[in-house]
Amino acid sequence: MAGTRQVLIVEDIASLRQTLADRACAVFGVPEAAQAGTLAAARDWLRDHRRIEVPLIALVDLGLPDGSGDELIAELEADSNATCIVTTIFEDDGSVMRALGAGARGYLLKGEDISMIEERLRGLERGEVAMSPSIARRLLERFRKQAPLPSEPVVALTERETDVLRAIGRGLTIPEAAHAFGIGAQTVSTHVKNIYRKLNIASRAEAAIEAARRGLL
Amino acid sequence: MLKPLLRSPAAAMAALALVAFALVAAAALWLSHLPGASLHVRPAPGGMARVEPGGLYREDAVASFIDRQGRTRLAAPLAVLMLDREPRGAPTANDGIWAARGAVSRLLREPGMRLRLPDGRMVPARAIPGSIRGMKPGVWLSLGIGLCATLIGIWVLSLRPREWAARMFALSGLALMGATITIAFSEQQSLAASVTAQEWAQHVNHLCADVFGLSLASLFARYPFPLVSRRWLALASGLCAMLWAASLFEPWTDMVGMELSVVLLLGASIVGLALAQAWMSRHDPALRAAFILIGASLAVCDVLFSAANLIPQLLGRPDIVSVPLSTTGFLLFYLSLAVAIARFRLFDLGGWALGAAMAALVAITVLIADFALVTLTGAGWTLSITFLAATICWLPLREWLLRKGDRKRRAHDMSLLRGAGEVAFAVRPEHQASRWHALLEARFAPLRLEPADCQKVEIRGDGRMLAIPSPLGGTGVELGFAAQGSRLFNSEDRAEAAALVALVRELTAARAAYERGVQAERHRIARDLHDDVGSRLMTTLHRDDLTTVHADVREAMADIRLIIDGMAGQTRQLADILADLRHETVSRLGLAKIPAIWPVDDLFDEERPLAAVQNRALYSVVRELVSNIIRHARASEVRVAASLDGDRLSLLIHDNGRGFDMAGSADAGNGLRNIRKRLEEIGGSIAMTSDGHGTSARVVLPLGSHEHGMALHG
Repeated sequence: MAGTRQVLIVEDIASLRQTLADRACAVFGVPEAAQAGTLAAARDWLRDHRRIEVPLIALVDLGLPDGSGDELIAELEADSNATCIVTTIFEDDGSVMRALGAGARGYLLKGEDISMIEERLRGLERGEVAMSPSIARRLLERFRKQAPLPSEPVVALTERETDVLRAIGRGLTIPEAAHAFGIGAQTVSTHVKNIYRKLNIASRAEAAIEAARRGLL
Repeated sequence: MLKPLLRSPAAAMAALALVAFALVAAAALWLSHLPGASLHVRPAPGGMARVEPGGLYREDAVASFIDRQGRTRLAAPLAVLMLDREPRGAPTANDGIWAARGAVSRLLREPGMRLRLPDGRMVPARAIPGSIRGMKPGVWLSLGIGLCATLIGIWVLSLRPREWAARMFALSGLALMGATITIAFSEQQSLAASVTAQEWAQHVNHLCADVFGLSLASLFARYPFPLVSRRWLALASGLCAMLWAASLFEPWTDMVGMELSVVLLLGASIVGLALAQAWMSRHDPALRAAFILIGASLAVCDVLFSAANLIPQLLGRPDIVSVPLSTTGFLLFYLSLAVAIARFRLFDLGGWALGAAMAALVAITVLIADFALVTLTGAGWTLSITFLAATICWLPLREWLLRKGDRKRRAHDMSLLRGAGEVAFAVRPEHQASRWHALLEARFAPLRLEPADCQKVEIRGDGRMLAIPSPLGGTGVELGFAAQGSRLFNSEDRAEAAALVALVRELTAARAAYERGVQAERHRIARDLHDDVGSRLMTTLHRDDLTTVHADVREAMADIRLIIDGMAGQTRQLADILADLRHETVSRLGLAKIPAIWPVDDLFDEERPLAAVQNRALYSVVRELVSNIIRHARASEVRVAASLDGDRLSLLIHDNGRGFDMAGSADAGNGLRNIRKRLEEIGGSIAMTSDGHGTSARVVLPLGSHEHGMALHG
């Protein structure tokens, strides 16, 4: 089975890194997970050991000694075979949104019980993702007010995606939302992942426009 | 090379200014060559004529020019020889006057000519060659005004070359220059000047007055709002041009009077249009400021000119102030207009303009009153000149002085405030005392400064000492010998010291209040950490079951997060709090495999701000209750319902577990005690019922921004 998937844990607290690595190996069925305590170490591993043809799952912490995990997530954008998950202590909307905008496909709360983290990892394996009400509300707000200029590319949400955001924003969990819409939890998770992807696209477009405005491109 | 240079405003302005200078220089040169005369006839009050040298005569008395041979060459009433008076009779009579003046100018060139005055005395009558040194001050003044007006016009035009207003303004400046050249001519002219020049000076003067009036009227007709179409303006200009052209041939009696009326009419329409524009501009602060400025200066120069010249001329009296002098008033108006069009420092001029307008208003009132008196009693105008001078010069001067004084005082107040602030906000108490002494040293420069007992600020030893109590508590100080001993302390010093003491006391009190607020907030954080995190970790310390320890640690982290949120002091909406709370509760129970039912109703749209303390209390209570259910209840279902009754939020949490003994269970009891205390502090309550079939908790939380909510924020 070795070689079907690569797993990378970027986390500066060694004990937590080891725990995360152990659980990830169990959940994703890989013999070992690469570990990095700094951005530099993560980059080194990616340069030396990343096999582009196999899927990569990267759990990336935001507050690293030599910078923010956002940077690494943005760099992994080029790797279409990679899935980045942000790990964070608290559900701090600002940093989670930034990481999602950089290309993360979900987030994991390190503050939770390790069995719960494992449950979340299994959820990821099944294609489930997390989203809190406050993040849903911020996403709704963001997509609603974006691109006042006609020249800017508008990344629009579908009606169903908007419904999902609204439901989660009002406090429904993903299974509850699925039940309310009469669809599978899997489908709701797909919507959520698409929303994250669109946020990433929108963020990239904004960055490009900003760069063009400043004459960088 | 030349084109871009001309496009630059500075270069264009320099070139045009050079042309204007050359024109005025040429005019001055021409005027300096005008011949003077050995005698002058000027109008005097009461239908008299003053002959210099000679004396006062009735203006209809006849004088004769006698040549060397003793022959009478010309006899004419003295009125004909008064050059200041423009001929205003029938065309034939006017022709006679011009013919007589022409004859006189030729006679004065004959040697040995004399004038026999009505009383038979003879005075020499001959032309004197002109020179630059012989030019009168009024001539220079007139030319100077004309040049200034043109330069102002050029300045505005070079700033905004494409604007209608600037073009019209520049045209009016040019016309004013033309008019002032003719005014200078009439100042400088004498009986020896050529009659053609005299006649043309009058015509050009009228033309320039027309152009000046028309251009200003056109300016206000279309700036800043287009009120009159260009076609009408062209029609009015054409009419004026035709009238002027007709006046060259004198078809009617008193063409001069008609010209004066045209100018007055133009003046009235300028004022009317300006008023209309001011009314249109009333909602735009910048335009309004511009019009206050224009209006004020217009009023000032209008009053000046009408009082000094126009009204006396219409009444057939001599000018009060010579025309060149009163035209300086135009410069004021002119400069204001230039400023308004160029939009130059309008904000600074508003105050000045109001002051000037006030002065003009007073002047107008005085003039009207005086005019009434003059017509009633037939007395002279002398009184109004004094008043006019007083109002126009003194009022703005007084205002300026007041402002200057005020500014100085404000700067003084600022430095007082700064000094007092430095004392009150010094980091340590001993710094406060030393800064207080330094402040007193700086303010009063005393020779010595000693501790002394005093209750209030008082002057001691006839002004040699000033005792000041300390605003910081403790003994006061006694300052000895103000300003390095050069003066005594006076009551102003006492007032200033008292103000300083009061200021420092107030600032210190404000700082203390602020620090109390900070203290209260620190206290809240400390208590929260102690009550929640501390007690939770304490309990955890004595547990053996790792799973429970983990759960406790997680809850302690959640508590820390709530405390951090509270530090930011943000208010959140009830709807958002409920949504987050619901999500968290349902997720937690879901992981514990306990289905939760919490309907999402209208309350989840309630836009009602909750203070940080209320938010925190709500979170703590729900978390604690849910934790208890997960740990102890062994429930298979939890129902939550929230409702809002006015300002009271009710939350009902029910589980179908095994219930618990309300008196026992020290563990759950500890957490509940904290919750109850916290709820009571903000006016809320919790009621619990429990039996073998489940537990119900009813939480009530008042949402109004009452005392309890605010007290914790100091």
